[in-house]
Amino acid sequence: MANHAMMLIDTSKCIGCKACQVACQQWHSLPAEDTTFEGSYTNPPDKSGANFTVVKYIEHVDGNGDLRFLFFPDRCRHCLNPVCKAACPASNPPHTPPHPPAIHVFPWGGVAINESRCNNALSKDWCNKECEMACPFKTGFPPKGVPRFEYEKDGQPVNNLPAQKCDFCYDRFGNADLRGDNDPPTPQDGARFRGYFSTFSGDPPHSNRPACEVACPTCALRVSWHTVVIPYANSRVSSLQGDGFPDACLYPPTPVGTHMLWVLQYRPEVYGL
Amino acid sequence: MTNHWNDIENSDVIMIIGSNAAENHPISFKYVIKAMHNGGKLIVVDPRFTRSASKASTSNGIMLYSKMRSGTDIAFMNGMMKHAIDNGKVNWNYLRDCTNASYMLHPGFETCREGNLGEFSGLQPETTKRHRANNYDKTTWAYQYVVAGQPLTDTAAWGACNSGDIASGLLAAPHADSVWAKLINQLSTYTISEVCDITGADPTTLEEIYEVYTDTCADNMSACIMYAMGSTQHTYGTQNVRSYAMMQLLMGNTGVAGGGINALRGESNVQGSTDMCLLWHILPGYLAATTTKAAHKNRTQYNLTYTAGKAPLDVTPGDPVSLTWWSKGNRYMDSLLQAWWPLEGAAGSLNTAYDYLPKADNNRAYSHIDIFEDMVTVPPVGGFPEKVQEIFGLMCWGQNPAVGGPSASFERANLANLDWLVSVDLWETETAAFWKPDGSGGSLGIPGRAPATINTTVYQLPAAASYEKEGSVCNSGRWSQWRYKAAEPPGLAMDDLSIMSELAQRLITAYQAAPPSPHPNLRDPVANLWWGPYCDPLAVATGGATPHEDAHGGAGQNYDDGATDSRTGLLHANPHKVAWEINGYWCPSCGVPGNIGWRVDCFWANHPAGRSTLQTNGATSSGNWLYCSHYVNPGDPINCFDTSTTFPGGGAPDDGPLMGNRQENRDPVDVVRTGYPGTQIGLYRGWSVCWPVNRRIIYNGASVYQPGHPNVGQPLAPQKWVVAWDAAGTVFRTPGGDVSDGYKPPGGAGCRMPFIMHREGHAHLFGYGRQDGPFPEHYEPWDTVCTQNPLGTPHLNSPTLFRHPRAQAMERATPGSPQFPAVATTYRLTEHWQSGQMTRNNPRLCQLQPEAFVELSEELATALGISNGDTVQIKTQRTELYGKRMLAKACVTKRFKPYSLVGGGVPDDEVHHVGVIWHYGYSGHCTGHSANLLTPHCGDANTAIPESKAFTCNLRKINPTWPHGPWL
Repeated sequence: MANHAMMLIDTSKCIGCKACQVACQQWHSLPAEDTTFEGSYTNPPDKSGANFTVVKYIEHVDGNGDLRFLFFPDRCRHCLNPVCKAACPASNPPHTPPHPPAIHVFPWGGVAINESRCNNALSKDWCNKECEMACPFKTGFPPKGVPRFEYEKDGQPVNNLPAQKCDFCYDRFGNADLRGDNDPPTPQDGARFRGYFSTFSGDPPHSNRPACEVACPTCALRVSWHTVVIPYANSRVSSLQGDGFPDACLYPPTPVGTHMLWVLQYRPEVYGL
Repeated sequence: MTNHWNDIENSDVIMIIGSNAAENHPISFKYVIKAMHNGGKLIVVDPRFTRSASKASTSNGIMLYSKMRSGTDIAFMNGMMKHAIDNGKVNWNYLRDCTNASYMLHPGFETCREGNLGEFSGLQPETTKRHRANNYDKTTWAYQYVVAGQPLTDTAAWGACNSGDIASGLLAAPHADSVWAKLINQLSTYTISEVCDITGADPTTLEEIYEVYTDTCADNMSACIMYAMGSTQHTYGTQNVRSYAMMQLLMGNTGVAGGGINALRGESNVQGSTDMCLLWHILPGYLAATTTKAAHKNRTQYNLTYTAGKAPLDVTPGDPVSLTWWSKGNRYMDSLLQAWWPLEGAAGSLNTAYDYLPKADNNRAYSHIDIFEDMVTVPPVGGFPEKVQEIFGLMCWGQNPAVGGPSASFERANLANLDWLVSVDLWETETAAFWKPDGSGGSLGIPGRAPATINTTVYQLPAAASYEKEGSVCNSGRWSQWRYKAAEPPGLAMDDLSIMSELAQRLITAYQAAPPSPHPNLRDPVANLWWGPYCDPLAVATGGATPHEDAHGGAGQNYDDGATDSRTGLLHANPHKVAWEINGYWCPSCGVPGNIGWRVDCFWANHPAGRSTLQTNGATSSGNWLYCSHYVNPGDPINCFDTSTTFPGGGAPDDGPLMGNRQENRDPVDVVRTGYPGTQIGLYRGWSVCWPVNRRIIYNGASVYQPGHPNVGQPLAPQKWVVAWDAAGTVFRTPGGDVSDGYKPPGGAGCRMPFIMHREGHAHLFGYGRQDGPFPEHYEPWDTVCTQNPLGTPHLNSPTLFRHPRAQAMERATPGSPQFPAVATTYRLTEHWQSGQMTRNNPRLCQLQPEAFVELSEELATALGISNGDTVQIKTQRTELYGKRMLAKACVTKRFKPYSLVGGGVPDDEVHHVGVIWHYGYSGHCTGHSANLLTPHCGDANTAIPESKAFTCNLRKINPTWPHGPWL
């Protein structure tokens, strides 16, 4: 596998401040949706057409009887082989080619919606939100996949939207050109990203990295090449396991399957995953 | 902060108590997380398991989070001090050489364990003072002296000061009258079990936290304490912070990297506004506010309180003495007077200028609470005579007391007693909108009062936001930095400086036009006020431009720069002129023609340019001595101590040139120099300017071994040294390090003691300056669930707490009243800010936390039949008195637990604890009830800060079908 971009979300460093949530909304010019207080700091309760990333708050009593307050910044996992794309009518024959696919996979691994091609917004005739249904990472009740199509504002539903989800801030990488799906990463890609990527050695985030990463006060979010991220993530897990969190693990458990990787202090089930 | 934000990463142990830094100071956690990444441990102490607590470390299998009933910090900290002393885990050298631990006290001094229990010696019978029920006669809160000026120390136990290394271990038999013996006696009751009885903490966790924290008594380890309003907003808030400071002295953690007591400020420029005398008891630069007392009768007397009153005390003649920085207060006061009413102006003399200063009634206070108490006529109550209304007009400048003030219903109602109210703000705040119809016949701020009956004229002056104006801010770490204007303010909004400048000039003109008053001090102080630096008149007088004219804003009278704001048609005030005046400059009476009009380089030093040191008698002018050296020009040296003459062998000054408090001064690279091992503690001296004299860690003279020790001048913690001297004690190793406090090598000639602000040069383990005791003692909050002090002492509350007779008679629930059985506290969220104007007008932030809520335990929720998300009502004595309850959503959480409380006389020795978010009000994009509807009008004995963090309440679900139990 060529070098891919990967974001590490180290929940052991997350303080639940929601800076990522706000920065994401701001960069993507998303509106505020209607919310009410329902007894949790999680708000809105799940990802929506107006919130690509939502911090989830979990109160957990662990095996020692210790209470923990856990934070899980939830967003698209950016799969290596996105099931959403496989399921999307507008990303597969007979509609492509000649048209570009509605779900675009960048050569460096990011998965983004090409809104001008998403059929939910154009015509719903042959779109049944397959991407949302096919997505294996469902949350909420009833469970829903990552791409979302609606939100509520000023008491009115807003639902005529293309699929909405985290796009890895590809437009901050200086890589806005939507190139062909199968183009291999070029040397230019490497040169373009090198200065922007973290070496995990305390360097401050470059302003061209994803909005959430730049906003994170504790550097819990970091983007780099997957060959840098995965060993670092494993070392964080080992360190946590030796520091009172024997259940610490990576999520998703097979790190090469996605381009978004979480370090968790407890088993994924604790986070409702 | 004694240290600064990024210094937190140097800590071996971080204790967050009285703050929720992850929530309210998220950026600080960049450094907390870094410290933990490097092996540091995080301790969190809070009534509730917070976002900060979520990151608490684990030690020996025990999570280092302790719950603590709101208002019991002193019991927690006194227990920690006792644990440290009992186990010999204190820094003995530091205690002897840097604190007053070995000083002998007046034989009549009694702790709270001697004489009358629960009080110190000297408590006076109740007085007729309006604000404090009792006062202390502090005669016995004093040292013994060998001769005048030379305090006696307990040499039998400690040896002479600075007499070498004290072997670790317990100190043998301190003299019964020594500070150390009195401290041990004062703490004797605070055993682990007693502390747990009071605080509700778990003893195993408590002991582990005490162990981990007291490990930092080792020379090469440091711990820092991060605190905020959770500590200060109590009737004994000052003593809460005292207990942290004393703990740091026991550990030798003050003055060192990764140490200190760090007040996390709640607003980007609170430090700056405090430096500029936001508070009522000080003048700029923390000079004492002038009062009616005899010592403030005239300028000569006032200056003597500094020159003579702060003269150094010399423990051992011939030994180093303190710099006692305050002994130079006369220079700072004279320079301040010269800035306001210069000799060259109509006042004509600094004595007259001093007389112009208002003299506060020495028997009164002028705090936020007083302002609102003085807005209403109070009939005779509790034996006190009637008190008539004294305040009829109010300017609220970036202030929103209708949400942010204690006892909000009372304060809102008083706004209707005003003739006029001016609100200078970005939005129409709750305060500005208090008179508007609420839709049901009343007004928004006063539900029972129709708008037509309110005669207050409300003026709204639209202000500019921080990015719409130029100026400087000073952060919690005392770092000040210039901010540039990025955008024009909308509409007719103006920057604060231009509003103030316009207002002042109109007032001056009006006073000048007024006929002479038989009472000259009613007219002249304003009529003769010199508005603006007088550089330009000087230029006229000398027939040319003043040397720094380009740097301070150019021509133009007053503070304006000659430009007119095209939107408002008003003159634009120039912040560079203000900055220049605050820094200070040489005046004609200095007698050195070449200096006139030049900036003063530093408030005190031998500066290479030769234009340093603030002067008396009008030779220099300075608006705030602490900021003298902050407004500098490209090419100026970084600070006045690091000069080529001070560093033998160093060649050129190590740090110069520093490019001033402007964009040039934002060097993101830390200073690491050759020739000496550079310090690795992240001083970033080229980033912003830090007062005083760019010293990043104050009292850093305490970070080295003191005279008499074999390693004199060497850092206690070599791996994170702050300042250091070479083995011979002669070569100053500041290059690459911080600016030294004493600026002379320990042991060498002219060496100074590390605590330079005190006459003793020693830090106050025994703090005789407080109103409510030289040591901290546990008292209950004013509004408490206890019927007796759990310590068993007769004083339930602090005997000297600050309250008004009206509030005492009406606003306080009967202690232990079953009507209000639960403990409540208030706090903030990450998602909102202060009284909410900046965030509740932002839809994206409203989306994140749309409604006011109250957090309560699952146990209490079960008992009351409350489910998550239900609407509940919260009542206190204040809501009963003023008729407006608080409604909030319920957040039922595991993060609150019931508290055991033994000895306080509460039923079953158990209380419930709830917490209320205080950001909300009736104006803005998202609205809700203010938590300050619940809080009382009483405050701290020393500062009068309101007690917003601990009171009693009752709550129940709003559901008519629910059977009403005792919680109604």
